[in-house]
Amino acid sequence: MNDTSTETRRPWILAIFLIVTGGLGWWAAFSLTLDKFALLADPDAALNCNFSVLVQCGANLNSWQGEVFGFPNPLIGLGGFVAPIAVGVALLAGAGFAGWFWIAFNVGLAGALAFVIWLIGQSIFVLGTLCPWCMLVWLVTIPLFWVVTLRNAREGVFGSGLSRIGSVLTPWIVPITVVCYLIVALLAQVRLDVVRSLF
Amino acid sequence: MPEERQTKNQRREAAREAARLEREKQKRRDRLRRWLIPTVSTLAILAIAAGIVWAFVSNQPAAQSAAGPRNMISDGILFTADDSGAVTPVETGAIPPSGTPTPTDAEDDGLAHIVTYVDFSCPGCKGFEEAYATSIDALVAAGVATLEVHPVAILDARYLASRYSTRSNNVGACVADLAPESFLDVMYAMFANQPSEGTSGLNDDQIIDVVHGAGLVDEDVDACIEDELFSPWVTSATDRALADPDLIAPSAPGFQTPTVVVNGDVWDSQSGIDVMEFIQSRITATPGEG
Repeated sequence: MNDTSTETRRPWILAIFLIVTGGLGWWAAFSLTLDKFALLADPDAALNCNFSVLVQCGANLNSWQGEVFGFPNPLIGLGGFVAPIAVGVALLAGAGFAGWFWIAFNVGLAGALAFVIWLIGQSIFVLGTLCPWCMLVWLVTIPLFWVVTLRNAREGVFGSGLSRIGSVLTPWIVPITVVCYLIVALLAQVRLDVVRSLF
Repeated sequence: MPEERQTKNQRREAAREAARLEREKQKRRDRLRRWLIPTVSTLAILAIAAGIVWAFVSNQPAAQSAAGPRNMISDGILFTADDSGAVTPVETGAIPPSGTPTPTDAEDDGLAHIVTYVDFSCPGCKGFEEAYATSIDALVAAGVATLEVHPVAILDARYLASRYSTRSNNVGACVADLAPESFLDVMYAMFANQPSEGTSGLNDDQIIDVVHGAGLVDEDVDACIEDELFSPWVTSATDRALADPDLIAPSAPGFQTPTVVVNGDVWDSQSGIDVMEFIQSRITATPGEG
């Protein structure tokens, strides 16, 4: 009987998930940074993320919302998305982390989610655009938050009381994420009539 | 007998093994149940979402062209000289919903039939009108040319998310519909007050101020501008212009604004021939004859 939990299994699914989503987010932030450079060099630059009036990133990059902290937002992503990649690689290598580390990681992701929610609101309701790279960031940040938060709850990082809730909700991560995506899609549809503009 | 005892031990072992297998099985079943419901829910949610999208898309009215403005049956507004030599619009009906434009009969009457495709938000069109509008109007007034103006909106992408291109050309349609005699004045005023590209352009109130400044103060026109009554038509008319290969100048990569067509020939801005020369060369009538 070697399936007792004395030897903790390496959480390779979590590790690979963190690496892939972190990598995609970083790639999106990097692309936006390059587009920002292109716009700084030539304000009329034809960005390859500009597909139409609706699907474009020029408007987002040129807006004040695009540099709400005084510098271009993608720089935050360029630094921030390194965290999930590093944690993922470390987990894959068998590393373990102290409780405070998981809490700090979780706080960072909660901040990322809050920022992304604000950006979604600004993009859909104020700028009236859907920016492809920005949407990739939304796409990965939402599950990153849920996966890590529920993992921490399950593992008792937030106390044993939440551990049961974490383990009950873990199988629901995919539907929760899908529902979040659909809420964003619904907002975009109601406000921007995406469907009609595509057909 | 030792053999019997062994059998007893074996039995106990077998029972233990069976219990262990049963537990394993139960565990697998539990895990399956734990993941099955969320997985099925996910699929159900996706199926419902796909169903809603499908229902929404299939219930969209088939791509029909919206009703057009009056006096623009050809997608453009035609100006000729009246008996007293004033440039006046030719009144026509409107393109009905789902209808197609009726091209103006271009008679071979010795006149230059000038057709322009302009975007009220295009700097090149502003430059064109500043340079040539007076001369062209003079030819029309002299009775040797006619002018047909087609507003098209191809530059929405240059005005952030404000759709200024569509909204400004809707103004042309509103005025053609409700106050055709003011069309040229309003168009020149819109060019004179053209905002810079890369901005949100003018908002509705600013546009209405420009229209008032051009001498057209009409509540219905203001409402038409605010409601973007003819924006769907602007889009349809623009699509039609973009799809017309006869509107592409020989050296141009595609449809551009301004596009100037005289008696069916597109003026090529790269040809070195001045547009007024191009027009003059097609006039065979003498002033007063037409």
